[in-house]
Order: sequence, then C-alpha cells, then structure tokens
Amino acid sequence: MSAQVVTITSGKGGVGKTTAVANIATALAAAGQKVVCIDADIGLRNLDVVMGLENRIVYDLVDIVEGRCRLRQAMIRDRHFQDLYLIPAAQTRDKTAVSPGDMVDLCNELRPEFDWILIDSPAGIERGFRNAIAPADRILLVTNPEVSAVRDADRVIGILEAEEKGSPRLIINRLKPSLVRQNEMLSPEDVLDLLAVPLLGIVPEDEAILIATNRGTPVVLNEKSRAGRAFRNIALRLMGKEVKDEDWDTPESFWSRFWPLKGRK
Amino acid sequence: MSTSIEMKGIRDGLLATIPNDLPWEEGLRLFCEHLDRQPQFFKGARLTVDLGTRSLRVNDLVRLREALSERGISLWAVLSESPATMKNAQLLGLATRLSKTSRALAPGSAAREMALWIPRTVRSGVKIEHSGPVVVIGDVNPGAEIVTASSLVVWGRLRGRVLVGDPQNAEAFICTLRFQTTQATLASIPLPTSIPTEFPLKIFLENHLPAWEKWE
Repeated sequence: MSAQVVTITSGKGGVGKTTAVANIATALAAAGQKVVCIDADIGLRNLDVVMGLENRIVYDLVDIVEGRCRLRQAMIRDRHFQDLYLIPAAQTRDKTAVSPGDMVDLCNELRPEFDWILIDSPAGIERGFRNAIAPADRILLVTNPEVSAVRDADRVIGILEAEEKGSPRLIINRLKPSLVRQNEMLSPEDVLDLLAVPLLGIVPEDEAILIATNRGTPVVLNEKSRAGRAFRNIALRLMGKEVKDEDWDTPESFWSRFWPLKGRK
Repeated sequence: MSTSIEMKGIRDGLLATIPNDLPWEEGLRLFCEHLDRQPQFFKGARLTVDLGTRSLRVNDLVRLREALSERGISLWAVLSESPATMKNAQLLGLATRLSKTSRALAPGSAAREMALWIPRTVRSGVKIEHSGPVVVIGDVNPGAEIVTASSLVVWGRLRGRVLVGDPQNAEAFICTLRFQTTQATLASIPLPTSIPTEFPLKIFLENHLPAWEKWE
C-alpha cells in the first residue's frame, strides 16, 4: 500500500476546506479505504471539531515533529470508521513550528499504511500553505461561487503551476442554483471559464452541513443530504470511478434538509 | 573572480548581488552565510537580488525565497540577464526590474529588444513588467497585471490590468481575442469602456487618441 497524498486548499478562508476534508475522508473510509487526515492549520485547528474528535486529542502534529510522541500516539481513530484517523494541529503554536520538509517526512512515514492521506491546508499562501502542499501528489482546490473566492483560487493555481505542482482539481462549494438563476451568483460555468482547471465536483448549499458540523458528524453520513451526496460523489471520483454530476437545480424537499442525524454516535 | 556578496541600499530596499562566477548552490550558501552574520540587521528587510546571467529554475527561486523568508526577509524582486530566470521569477509574482527611481533599464539593452513569451494564462497576483513586447498565449485574469514599454498581444481574454507603451511610444498597440478589462492604458492614455468586448481587437493610437479595429 502506498497512500496518495491529497491536499485540500483554497486561498480564501471560510470556503469550506475543513468541511470538505472531513466529508471526503469519511466518504473514502465508508468505501473501505484506509484514510488519515492531517490538520495543517496550526494555531487555528478545526478539523477535530468537524469530525467530533476534539475531546480525544492528547498529542498533535507539532508534538510528532518535535519528537515528544511517536506518530501512532498522535493519531486519533474516528468514532464511525475503524480505518479513519486524524492527526490534529497544535492550537498553541504557529505555522513556523513545522517545515515543508517535516510534512514530506511525516507523509512518507504514513504512506505504507494508508490508501489516502488528506491534508487540510490553512487559508492564505504563506508558510502554512507551503507546508500543506509540499508532500502533495494531488491538490484539490475549494472555492465558493463568489468573485473574491474565485480571485484567490486563481492566485493559488498560479502558485501551484509556478511550483510545478500541476493543475489542481476544483470543488465548487455552497452553490445556490436559485441565485445563479437570478444572476446573483457566479455559475459553475463562469467559475470554470475563469479558472480553467478540471472540475471534481459541485456541492450545493445545504443547511444539513451546519447541523452536521455542530454535531461533529460529517454530513456524508446523512443519506438524504444533497451536500452529503455531492461529497460521496467527489470521493468516488477521487478513487477513479465515473460518477455523473447530479442536477442540483431541482427543488429540494423540505424534510430532507432536516433529516435527523440522531442514531449516529 | 569575485566571491563576496555585494550589498547596497537602494530606494526599493536593499540590493544584493550574488557573484556571477559562483555555481548557484555555492552562491546561495555564501549568501545565506552573509545574511546570518547580521540577522537582526536584515530581519524585516525588503530585498532585491541580482542573479547575473545564471539561468535558474522555479524551484531554485522558491528555495531562495524560502531561505530569505526563514530569516524574516522579503524577496520582492530579482534582477537577471537570463530570460529563463526572468520568466520564472515573473511566474512567482516577483518583480524583475527596479522602479525607475532606483534603476532604469538601459535604452537599447537586450532586455528592451527581446519579446517576453508567456505560454500560459497569467493568473491573479502575478505582475509582469517588461521593457519589450509581451506575448501571452492564454488569458490575463482579473488581479493580474502586465506593464510593458512596448506592445502586448494576448491570445486569449484580457481581463486584468495592463499598462502598455511608455508615454513616448505612440506605436504601441494591444491585440487580444477578447478585450474584457476596464483597467488598461495605452501610452499612459486610459482606454475607454466603450471598446467592444465580443470579438478580437487591435487597439492602437491615432492622433494621440485610442482607436480600434477587428484583429484578423
């Protein structure tokens, strides 16, 4: 086994990187893959919260790099899937505590044991971003269909091309078809026309995400959620399967938005 | 053969010259040692590095930038006589010449005559400055900027900011498949928003006023 290292980045903050990492990782694990997520957002960690694992953190990424613990000691097993792990970021340090070389070494140590290593990149294009992309075999770029997010995504693509990391694959998150119809939001075609990179998937706006995030249960576990379906499709495409895009421009049933997550631990 | 790093103050910050005769690895090592002798002096500095004629890859420039960044120094420009180094620096968003107050390119120099060929889309955050003509095979996206004293040809959509032709250059022109920017000047004259955006255009000056025709 030799894991694919996938970094999820965006440029702009708040577009849904962490949500994407948690959901894609969970969907991959649900499909029988061995997955480890690394939160590279040192000082502003969130992935543990979205995955509902914040109470289980003992050691973190900086502890591994600085030799205070072994790799295995910092890996937290997911509550739902045996083969899904999280390596959390440190909350009390800054991005300079880890170097791009440290991230490459860490991923090389993890590769033989996993199918996928997903790295949650911090926003921006500074040191934390460079740490996150250093070991990447593939890069996923998350953007919202907003002018500012697309502008920042374009900047990130330019940097990735300049650093010979290749073209990232795009996830358009929080699409609202009703606003696109009213010309109040960029359409996926507009975004692709500007960024000119391959599309991996479109995730529609869905209140179930907010509910799931607050519960620490990724929305892919909600069978009825449109966003959950979109993330499952993205995970399948990442695994090389051909999955048609759903038509998100159909009215959503009222009840599906409030599909209860109860029964999930 | 000079083997010492030269450092001098300029209006844009500090200008460091890495001796041209040294192999790049050796030059970079010497440069870092020089900076480490007075770390507090250089911390927070804005640095331009003169790389001479050596041809450097993007990864070499990234290493240079990271070595400076680790020392709290910001690399904002590199000077080079190598077209490959200049192109790679521009891809990283670095300036490749000093402001006019610091150093002007010599008239008639090689860089002034040479066209800059950019075979890809110029993306947001990238600024390209060149004395000669610039040819882009791709789009110029919003947030990108191209400054040239000569002409600009964009085989794609022009949506970024472009300053084309110096004020004395009435011969400068812009050719593009789609002129979709509101931030363009030709010989320092702002171009009007009434210029058509739906078909390929050549934009030029006629009696010191902007004019355009279909680019066929």
